[in-house]
Amino acid sequence: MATGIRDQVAIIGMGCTRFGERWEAGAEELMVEAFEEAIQDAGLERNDIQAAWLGTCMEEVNVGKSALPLSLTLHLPKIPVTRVENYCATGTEAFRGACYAVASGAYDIALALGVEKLKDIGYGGLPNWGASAGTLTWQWMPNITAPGAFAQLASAYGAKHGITDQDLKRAMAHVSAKSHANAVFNPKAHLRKAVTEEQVLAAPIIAYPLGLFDCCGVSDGAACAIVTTPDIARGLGKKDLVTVKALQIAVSSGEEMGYNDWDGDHFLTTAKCSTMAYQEAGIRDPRSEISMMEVHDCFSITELVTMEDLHISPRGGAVKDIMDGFFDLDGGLPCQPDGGLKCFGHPIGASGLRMLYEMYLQLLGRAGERQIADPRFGLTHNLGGMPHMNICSVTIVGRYGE
Amino acid sequence: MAQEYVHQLLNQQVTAIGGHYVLVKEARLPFQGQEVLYLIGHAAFDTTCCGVGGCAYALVPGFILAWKAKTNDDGRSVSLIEPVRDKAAQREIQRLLTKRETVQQVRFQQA
Repeated sequence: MATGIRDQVAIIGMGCTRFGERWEAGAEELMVEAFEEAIQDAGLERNDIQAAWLGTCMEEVNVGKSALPLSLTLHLPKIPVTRVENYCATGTEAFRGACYAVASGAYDIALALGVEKLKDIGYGGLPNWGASAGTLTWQWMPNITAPGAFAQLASAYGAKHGITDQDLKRAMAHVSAKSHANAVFNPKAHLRKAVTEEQVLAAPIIAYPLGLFDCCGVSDGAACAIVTTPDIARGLGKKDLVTVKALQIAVSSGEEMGYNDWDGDHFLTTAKCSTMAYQEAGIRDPRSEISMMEVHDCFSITELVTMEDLHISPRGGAVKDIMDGFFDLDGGLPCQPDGGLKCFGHPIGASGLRMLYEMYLQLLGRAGERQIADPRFGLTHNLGGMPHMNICSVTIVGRYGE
Repeated sequence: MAQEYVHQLLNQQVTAIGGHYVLVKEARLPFQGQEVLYLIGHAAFDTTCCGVGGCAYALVPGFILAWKAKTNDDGRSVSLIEPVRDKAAQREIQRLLTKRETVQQVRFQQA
């Protein structure tokens, strides 16, 4: 009976670039920047890396195909390197590959690196994918935009739970204002500027009820993790070990779109993925046991609904939790302590590892002014695709043995 | 029900990760014996994750009950307004505003 990889993999080094309009840096420079921080943090040499995973999504306008861009850039010594892509869960997918490689015993030390260079390359947001979307993907979303699809999620959520547009807009404004307030303390955030709920509410609509501040942006960035076993980590002199408690991915089967059971108000994948992750991590009451979260706030409504799909808030209860400040930095369960996608933007391949970087810093007490007191478990969440067809990942990390 | 409305600062860029907006004008629209407060904003969505665009838009806080009746702790003027809740009135105000101003959106704020 499979039991998962709880406490079988330790993160011994992480790095993350400043995210933003990195006009001065190409994807290669971003990869080097993240890697150098991680390898120094791990106290290793490049030749200690035995296998690597590269996560990048828009390779056509970015680093190009195959794993060669990572291997060539870092001058990795002819080791196995794999490139992965899984929509917005791409960075976490790279991390999953490295963790499974270590947990299986195939390698002692593995690297996961996610990168996306989207500025000054002619990329103007998620494009018409053409043939790269495949045939079945087009069948399910032939003529749709991401803001339009997530706006429908918002409307369905409000209708199902009897929440007025005004209350939903105000809660989404609080989601954004909270993330902006947190990013003020983060030197690596793309946008470090507090905004008021009134400023958020005065913004124009992108797709009703989602306004400008409800939508994330394009950015450049890279993030990186080096993993090994807890025994090897101790042998390297590491003391406060951050280990992987759970790594789960759930991918839509077409059920949400193809049948009538789903009413469009939440993510079936997230509800299942988080349940599997809690089981793997041995967490019974996530609301009280999880200490902090970085979730995929591609749109404010995604974060709001995700609080319920992660079984943190009761169904229909996220608005109250948000307005009570439960997810604020000084609240019961801080969400987006680093500023989230709203302030980091979304260099797709890097985002999942950027979220893990924040959990890693927090668990090691290195988060500076945004440090959360004595965190135990940190959760990251990615959601790639649309509400009706998506890829969800949930990762839980914490201190070894707890 | 009357609500306090804190007057927004004009001609200041408010930046989001996906773009920015600037409120460029505050004005009053005569309507059925009352005056409706509205603002005009310009926005560009040039760095969003999911496409590019932009618009000019009108924000309608509501009917003016007391114009700049006081100032708040930040020194900003505060008026008393009543949001426009009646759907027929909203439609008519939208029609008038889109004739009067070059806007692609008219939004009624409910606070």
